Amino acid sequence: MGHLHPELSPQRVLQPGSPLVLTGDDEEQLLARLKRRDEAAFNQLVRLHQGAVYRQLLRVLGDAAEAEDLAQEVFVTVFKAIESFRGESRLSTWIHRIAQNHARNRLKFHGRRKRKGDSALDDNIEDNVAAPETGSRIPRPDHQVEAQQAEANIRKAMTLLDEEQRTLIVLRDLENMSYEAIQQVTGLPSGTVKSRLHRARMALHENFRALSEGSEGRS
Amino acid sequence: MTSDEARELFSAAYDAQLTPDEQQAFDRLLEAAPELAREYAEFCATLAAVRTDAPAPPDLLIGVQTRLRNASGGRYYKDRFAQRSGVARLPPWLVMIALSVLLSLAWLGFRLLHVIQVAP
Repeated sequence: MGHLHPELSPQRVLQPGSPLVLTGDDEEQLLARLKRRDEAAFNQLVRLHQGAVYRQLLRVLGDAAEAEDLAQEVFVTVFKAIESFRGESRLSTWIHRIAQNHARNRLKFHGRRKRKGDSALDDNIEDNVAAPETGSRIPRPDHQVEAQQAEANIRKAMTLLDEEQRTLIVLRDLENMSYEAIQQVTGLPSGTVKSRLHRARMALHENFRALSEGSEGRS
Repeated sequence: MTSDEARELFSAAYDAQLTPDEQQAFDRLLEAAPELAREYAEFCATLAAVRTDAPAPPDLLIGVQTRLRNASGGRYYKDRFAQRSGVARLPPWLVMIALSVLLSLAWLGFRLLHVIQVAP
């Protein structure tokens, strides 16, 4: 069950920690304000979508600083291009598509740099996988170590996939998007989404298993 | 259904996209093949591990606002403090000259005070 943001529907109560979900009417109101370049509405939009966009980029890029930098770029693009949004999909789907395009360009850029012998991003990923973000609960130390190792392995396993595979997994398994929404973001036909998602998941599972076995062997 | 055929259905099974017949055959095979059942459980655990509750950095919005202010030449997200104080409207060279004059006057005043105090 979703809750509406108080700025849009002041009469409704927003529960702490609950997901922010807009109804179609609220989204239309927000969109109208965004097209008038209303700064408060844009702040609202960023607050609503920043978590999802950041997590999408974190999983695709595997690097927290890169993800933050690119998330900012994504919202700048959203601000500049909001006039071109015609409402053919949900606003969130459109924002994810922009994030995917930015991530693709960033990965291409790093791919070119890597081919020239600069492996800075890989070093960053290696550094960052050891410092995963954690929730507010305080786990037992042994569980914490296991969780950190699992997080490090999943991030590394994600980086071993190609960009399309990462995106499909992020949209489906992180953002819980429907196949239809994934189609709209990626531009892939429905059957292709399912088959490529399956291959991506199997590849991720293989990578994760190999990395987990490797880390168990070392410890 | 063979084990390889069942593996091809892992993703659809995880998304609850199997037809009732497929689901029945899939479940029967997993019951009969514990190794395959373990493999499917690990597959599900891997996908569950993709989930992260990493929150967005707290200053992400401020970063976006700063970029927009810079990109629009100050048209959007104007610096309210600078705007209120009027500093933003002055050209930087004029601010520098004004500051230099102020500093010079302060120094002169200090020297004058020193001379007055030293003089008998």
